[in-house]
Amino acid sequence: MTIVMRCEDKERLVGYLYDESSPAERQAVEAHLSRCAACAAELDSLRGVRVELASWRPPAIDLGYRVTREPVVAAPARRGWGLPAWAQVGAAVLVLGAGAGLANLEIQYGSGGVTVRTGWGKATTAVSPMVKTAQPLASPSGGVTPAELKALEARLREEFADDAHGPAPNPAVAAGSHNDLQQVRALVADSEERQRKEFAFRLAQVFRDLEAQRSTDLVHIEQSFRQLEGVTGEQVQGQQQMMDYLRRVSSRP
Amino acid sequence: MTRTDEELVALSMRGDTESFDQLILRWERPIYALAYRVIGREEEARDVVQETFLRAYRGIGNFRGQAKFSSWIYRIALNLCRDWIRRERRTPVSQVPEGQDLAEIAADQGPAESIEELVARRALSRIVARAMEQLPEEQRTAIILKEYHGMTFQEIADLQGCPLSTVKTRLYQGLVVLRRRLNEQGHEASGMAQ
Repeated sequence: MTIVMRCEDKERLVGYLYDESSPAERQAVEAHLSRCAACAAELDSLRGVRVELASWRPPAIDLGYRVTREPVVAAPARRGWGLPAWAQVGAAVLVLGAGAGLANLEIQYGSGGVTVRTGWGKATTAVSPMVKTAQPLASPSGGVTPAELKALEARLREEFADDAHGPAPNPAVAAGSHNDLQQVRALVADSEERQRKEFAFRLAQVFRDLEAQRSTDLVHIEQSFRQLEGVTGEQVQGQQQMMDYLRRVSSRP
Repeated sequence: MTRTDEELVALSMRGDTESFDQLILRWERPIYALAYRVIGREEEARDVVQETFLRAYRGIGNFRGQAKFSSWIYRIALNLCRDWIRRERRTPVSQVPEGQDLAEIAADQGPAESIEELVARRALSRIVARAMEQLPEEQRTAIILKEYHGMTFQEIADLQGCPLSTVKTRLYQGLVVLRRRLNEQGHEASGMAQ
């Protein structure tokens, strides 16, 4: 099919201007331009515009964009141990219980308030290092019979006697051992003292909290009683008014 | 070894930021030139470039490769330019310096270009910029994509979302208007020079 270009066919002229025509279109445009001076002049003027457009350049600037990654921010340290609240409470109770056990602690929470006793002031049962075997002293029923006590006394006497008849210790070694023992005892005593003070401090905090809670509870209970009394008083007053009313009604002639 | 855009895109999709940097290096100047000519402001054009590559980086996982990477980022940049023009509700304003800084002029001088030719070209550049900014947005964008980015009619039609014949019409009408404006302003400039 032969293409024939007309003057109004500006799309074909633009295609020819930008060199995006098919061979058939190109041939048709060139044939038309050879015959039409106006279209040829227009094509020249449009080419001139394109030359002028080429002079428009953006300013030379430094760009240099790059992909940068934000530094990885460490997650804020969680307060506490990262355990759920119930586990922390459980752990606290365990620690408290273990501490109480170490301190030979006795806690009573009764009508007289909170009573705390540490076992350190009480006489502790001294266990002789020479006792090799410890026999149960308590009978199955829970009591100790005189015969059992006598048997225990006899056995202890025998052990003491055996120990007294043993080889005599070297005096120098005995003195050194005695000094070491003294030092160990002093260290243990210091350690126990520190632990006791620390534990007493912690306990004081716990019991301050407990006392504060107890006071709050008492206030609530008192308020509840007052409310109850108020309600009761109103009921009594109402009953009294009812009685007065009945009395007045019944006394009417 | 120079990698193609497609290869760099594939690497970028796997998290290789250096490959994406190469894509930026390859395309930041054309995108800047496009944005500058469409909206006519240097700083805003810079912002468009930055936002274009930011969006491309975030959306690289969704790039299916049906179009060329260049077409994809051109579309992003053109949408941003269009948003800017609509937001500002005004025609672009070319920031062409009035003063003639000789050092700056010399830096812009081509290898075979005398200083007189350079000064004349810069004067003509201002005239062209002012003529272009008076064109309707669609005509201006079509001329920019064709004249300065060498796109085909079909590529422009795809970017502008219009038929191919519409692109040709926009180009013709835009060039005719420019011819008239350039003649007018050229006469004004020559009259002022005299």
